[in-house]
Amino acid sequence: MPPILALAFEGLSIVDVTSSYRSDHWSLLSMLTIVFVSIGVGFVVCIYVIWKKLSVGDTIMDAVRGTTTRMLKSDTYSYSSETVKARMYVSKFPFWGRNNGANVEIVHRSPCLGFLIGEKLLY
Amino acid sequence: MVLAILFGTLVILGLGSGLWMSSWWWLFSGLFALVLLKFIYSVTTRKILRKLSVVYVLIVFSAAMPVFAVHQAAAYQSIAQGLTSSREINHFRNILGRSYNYTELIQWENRSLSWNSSSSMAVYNDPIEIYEHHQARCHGYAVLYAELCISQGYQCRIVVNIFGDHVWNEVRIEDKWTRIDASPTGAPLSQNIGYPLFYEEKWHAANTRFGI
Repeated sequence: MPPILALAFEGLSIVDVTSSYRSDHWSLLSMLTIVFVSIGVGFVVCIYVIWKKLSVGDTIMDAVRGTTTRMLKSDTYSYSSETVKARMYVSKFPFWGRNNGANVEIVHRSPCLGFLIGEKLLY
Repeated sequence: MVLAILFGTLVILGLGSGLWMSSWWWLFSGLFALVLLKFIYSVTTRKILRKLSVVYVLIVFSAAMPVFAVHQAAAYQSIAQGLTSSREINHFRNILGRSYNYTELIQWENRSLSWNSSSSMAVYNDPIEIYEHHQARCHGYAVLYAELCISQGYQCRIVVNIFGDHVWNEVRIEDKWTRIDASPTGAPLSQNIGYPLFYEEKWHAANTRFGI
């Protein structure tokens, strides 16, 4: 198996010799690899942030479903995120009303794509 | 929780023994990270703390490979620096008794050392200790060979496959760095001198036969 990182040591000097031992002359520490990896990481972070924004509505609905299965008495719970703040009312009678006894009221919203998707899912 | 996180960091990054970066290390530290996350999730219900704990584990795991590489590099730099001491050079000049070329040095070394792939075998970094122990793996073969070459006036360096558990040498021959693998790879001598693509094309056979 060709090396992923081969370093040569002579006295105090360290040299990356990986490319000499690979037919593709690739090197982990080469500038090209570092640039590609940095772009890839940035891309993944962007996708993650957008995905999180888009899934706010799902998260609220999960919170509603998860809580209603556990709660039996009437109470008020809040869910907040970067983009949406919602207050959830859990009915005294869990099988009444929408969402298996829970109703969600949006108390604050930020104008972003995530909220729009969230609103669509909530109502 | 802070103590658990600190302990987790030590376990994930600090398994600096022979297990480090092996498949056992990945298994143990992966399981440990899962237990740590489970613990943090049971201690706190705050979303921000839970998210931070996941990010923390990801950062620690991402840091593990660079930390390992730096640790290895520091260790071999120290070894390479020690090879230039006049005490070691004179010691091997006296043992060799006459001048040897780089090919003869491979043969001399293979007569002096025997291959031992046991993980329980003591690993020495000092060429004199390696020679006196008479048993070595690729690390010992490469360190001793570098010292032998230096004692004979060659410019020689140790090459380490950082994530691949093999060590060999490069010797400056006719103004070119030439690969030399003094370990008994089972390949003919012609393939252990030069032939830099050996590890890509022939490594599997050597690895299967000798457990290098």
